[in-house]
Amino acid sequence: MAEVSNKGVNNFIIRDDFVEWVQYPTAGSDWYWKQFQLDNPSSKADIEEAIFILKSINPYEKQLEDKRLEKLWISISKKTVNRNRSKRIYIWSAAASVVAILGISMLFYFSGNPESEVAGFSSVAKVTEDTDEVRLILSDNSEKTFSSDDLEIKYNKEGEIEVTTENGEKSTSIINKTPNAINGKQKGISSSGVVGAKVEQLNQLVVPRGKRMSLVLSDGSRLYLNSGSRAIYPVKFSEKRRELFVEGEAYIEVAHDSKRPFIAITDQVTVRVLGTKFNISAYPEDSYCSVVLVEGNVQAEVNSQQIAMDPNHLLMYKKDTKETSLDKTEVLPYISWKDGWLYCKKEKLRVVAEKLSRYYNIKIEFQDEETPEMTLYGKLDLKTDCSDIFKAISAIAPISCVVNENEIIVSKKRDNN
Amino acid sequence: MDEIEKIQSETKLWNDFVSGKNEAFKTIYYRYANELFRFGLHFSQSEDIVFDAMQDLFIDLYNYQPQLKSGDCIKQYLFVSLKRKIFRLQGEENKYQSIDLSKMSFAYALVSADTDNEEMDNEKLKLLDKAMGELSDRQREAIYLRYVSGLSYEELSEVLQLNYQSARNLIHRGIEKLRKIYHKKSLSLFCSS
Repeated sequence: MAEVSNKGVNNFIIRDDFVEWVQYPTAGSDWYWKQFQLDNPSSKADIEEAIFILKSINPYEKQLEDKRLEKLWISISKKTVNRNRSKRIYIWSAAASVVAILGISMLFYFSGNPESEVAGFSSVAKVTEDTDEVRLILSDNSEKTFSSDDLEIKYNKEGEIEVTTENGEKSTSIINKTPNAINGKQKGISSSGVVGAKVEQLNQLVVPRGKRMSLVLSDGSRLYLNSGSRAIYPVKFSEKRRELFVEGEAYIEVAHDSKRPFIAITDQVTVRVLGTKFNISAYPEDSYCSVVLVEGNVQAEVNSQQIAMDPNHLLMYKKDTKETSLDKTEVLPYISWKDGWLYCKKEKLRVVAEKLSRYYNIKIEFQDEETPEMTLYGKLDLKTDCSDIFKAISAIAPISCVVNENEIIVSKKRDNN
Repeated sequence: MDEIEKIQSETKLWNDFVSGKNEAFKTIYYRYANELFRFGLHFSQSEDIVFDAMQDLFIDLYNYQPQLKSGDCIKQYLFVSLKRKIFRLQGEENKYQSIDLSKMSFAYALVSADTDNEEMDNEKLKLLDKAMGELSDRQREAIYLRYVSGLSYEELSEVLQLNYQSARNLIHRGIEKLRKIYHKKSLSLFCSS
């Protein structure tokens, strides 16, 4: 009492314990404040007034109706959880607007761009794929073939090629010695560069169906080429850029070099990076091209549209509709081939069969239309035979397979009863 | 829930959200939506604007989640952000001009708490209403945040961007002024009647 009245204001509202009592009364505080009023009868009017003010400015809580609360949440979650969807729509509409100029720009890029060292070459040196061997075509048009795919081809800084086989023991042999000595003199493959410009030596690595190959380029970047793919690249990269052409599928770990951008060119998509890991799939026979980014950042160009990609992004370009989409994805299924695994996550058997057919160079035939549409989950070991893989699939899916030489026939399993 | 428990659960909720747990986002929404809605209505009489501001606020919160720090206080963050959103949505202001949130007008409404003596209460309410009208927007806001939204002085000082003591003073002086005006009016009412 003394304390309160000495302040001369009897201002109960600024007392936290008083406010607490008015707003959230408890048995204890009730007892205390009743006792307080008995002990300090003169405070009665002030206390009543304070209660009145507090209760008046503390209106009965206006509640949001549950329906509106729910509605607002739905519109919030639509705009947050599905961020990727809105992004995709944006890119599609952007793609639609540039379709008209696509043809012209692609033509220009591949045939007319004097700065591009490898692009013009890609259309010239079509390689016949009637061999089972991995072929390395050197700049003088000579060929080196490898029957085993358990080896690594490495270009050192001088542009010399070291081949390391890994069947138990390692043996290194150097071919294409001192290529600089014959620089510019050879008649074979050379880029259609500007007249007078230094002629870059281009090599081509062709990996047939059923084989894989990994390659270390002169800048230290590592290139994994999947079955039925080829890459064209200079023996030594120029000082301005590191450019290579890929047909088919490649997983590329780019060595960082901020002064020289690394540019991977395919028929449809061009990927520009400084240092990163990504997978690019651009088989001419496929209906789509895709780029999956594992690390770092890349700038992809498709349909003369620039798309910045972040890690775990999947860029899909559908060739027929010219639709581009960018989505978050799990990268593992896209890059596991380089380690000899095939991850299937909700993958159509048809798509898996396409990949296996390419990987093993084997024909896979479906007897009905239903089976290829089956969805598959799991991890397939590509280090085993293709027939073993189909045995494994038929154990979990209602299919039966007949394995012939170079051909697997898949059909729907008949009911046992 | 006692105060410490409440603060702990709020801190945990915020930390969960900042560390990327998506359920926490929904929990935050459902826990604070009503409070934010009521708070927002003091700055805009349009429920639609408050809804839009809340939507923007939560979308921003989600998008900026990677940039948020675990130490931040959730309630203050939400209140200040909502104020800013409403200010922007009310919109005649120049977008490039910095926002002075302290200049936002603060609307209020008083309700009769007692139904026993309605006429008497209504008279008193009118007086209180007039008294409230003579406070500054800042004082009104502080009083509401303290007594209606139940913010502690620490929380209040962050929402109002003042130090602790200034926030306390703002409330005390506001209440003092309120009482004085209220008394003077009731006195004049008493004399004239």
